[in-house]
Amino acid sequence: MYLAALILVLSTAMFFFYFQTICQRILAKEFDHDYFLAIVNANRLEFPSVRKAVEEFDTPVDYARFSMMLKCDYLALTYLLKNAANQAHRYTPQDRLLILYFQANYLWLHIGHFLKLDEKSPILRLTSVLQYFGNVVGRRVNSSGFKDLSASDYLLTL
Amino acid sequence: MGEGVLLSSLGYIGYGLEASLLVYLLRRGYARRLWEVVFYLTASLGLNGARYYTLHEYGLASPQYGHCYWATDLLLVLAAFVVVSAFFRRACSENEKMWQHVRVLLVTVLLLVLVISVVSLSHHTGSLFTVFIIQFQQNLYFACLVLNTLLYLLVVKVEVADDRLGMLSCGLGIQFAGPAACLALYYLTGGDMVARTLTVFLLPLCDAGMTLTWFYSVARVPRVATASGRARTDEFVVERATLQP
Repeated sequence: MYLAALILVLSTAMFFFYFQTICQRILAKEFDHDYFLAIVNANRLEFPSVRKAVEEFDTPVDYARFSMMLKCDYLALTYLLKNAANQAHRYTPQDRLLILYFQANYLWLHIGHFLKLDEKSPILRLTSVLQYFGNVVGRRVNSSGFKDLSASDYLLTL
Repeated sequence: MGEGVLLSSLGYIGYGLEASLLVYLLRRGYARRLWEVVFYLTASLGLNGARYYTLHEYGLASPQYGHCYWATDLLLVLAAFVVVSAFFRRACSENEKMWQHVRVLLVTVLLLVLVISVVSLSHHTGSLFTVFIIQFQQNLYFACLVLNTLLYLLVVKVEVADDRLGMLSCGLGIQFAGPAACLALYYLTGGDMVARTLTVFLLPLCDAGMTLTWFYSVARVPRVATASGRARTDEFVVERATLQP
């Protein structure tokens, strides 16, 4: 009985550990260029400023504002991920996995705020997912034959 | 009815993914370089084929299907053990001394698992398909999970240059952790409805999760040259430089 309980707890913990490790390994993929910058500028996304505020200023996290900013960026980027220069208009399996990872971290941010735990780490993880999405969208736009258009011009055509 | 269709669909998606990865590996010429993955996928497809044949011939409630299901599950765990051992060998390819220790550990674990399995199975021959088999499989999966976690820690610690190995190990981790947790929950709750539903849905999902992680690892993660390979390349460059007039 105790052994089964121990196995249940440890295996569940290991399951989440491996899930997080897989997501972080995907996020660690390096792009040959900062494609996300064009997408951030064209769509006035705010996650880089959130990350800067969390990383550089040792002030308490403005939870309500930051979580709203990240959620709005997430909605914009997932829309672009599905529709911008994407012939299939479908998410890839790794997009789906990272969407799940984002949602899990977003939930953890809420729980952490409720329990007064560290809020900076989940916020940084959320911004890293958004940056990855921005890089993917930016690279697709860049390589889809719209090079004479700027990212904002292209996105206006959607 | 709806649950059955969903379960069958999940199963077929899982096998489709495994077959696609196997074809991809063979067509890209990875069969020798990633023989462990090819071996596991072939074993999984073959054993699942046997399961489907038995199900079709004898039905879900037959003792033949029960025997076949648990026997193939045991063989799959043993196949996974072989894969984990091969990954350990790969991780220790730069350090023969470490491999000597790891080899002793692997042989010890295998012998322990075999002895405990044979003893406990022989004591429960009359009541094999009770909660005993759940506990037995849960322990096997957990033993493999612990080994795989040691493998992952080794990969991180010795900074193995082959970046794929980490992802392949993570895929195996999902494959072991999910079933171990589900079977433990099933055992603890005495097989109530929630645990049963969670188990039957999560097992094929973990299977598909492992295959997708392996797919990503093979298709997207570049295989970096090993440390000794780099050393040899450096030596070659130095050699060529000294030979230059």
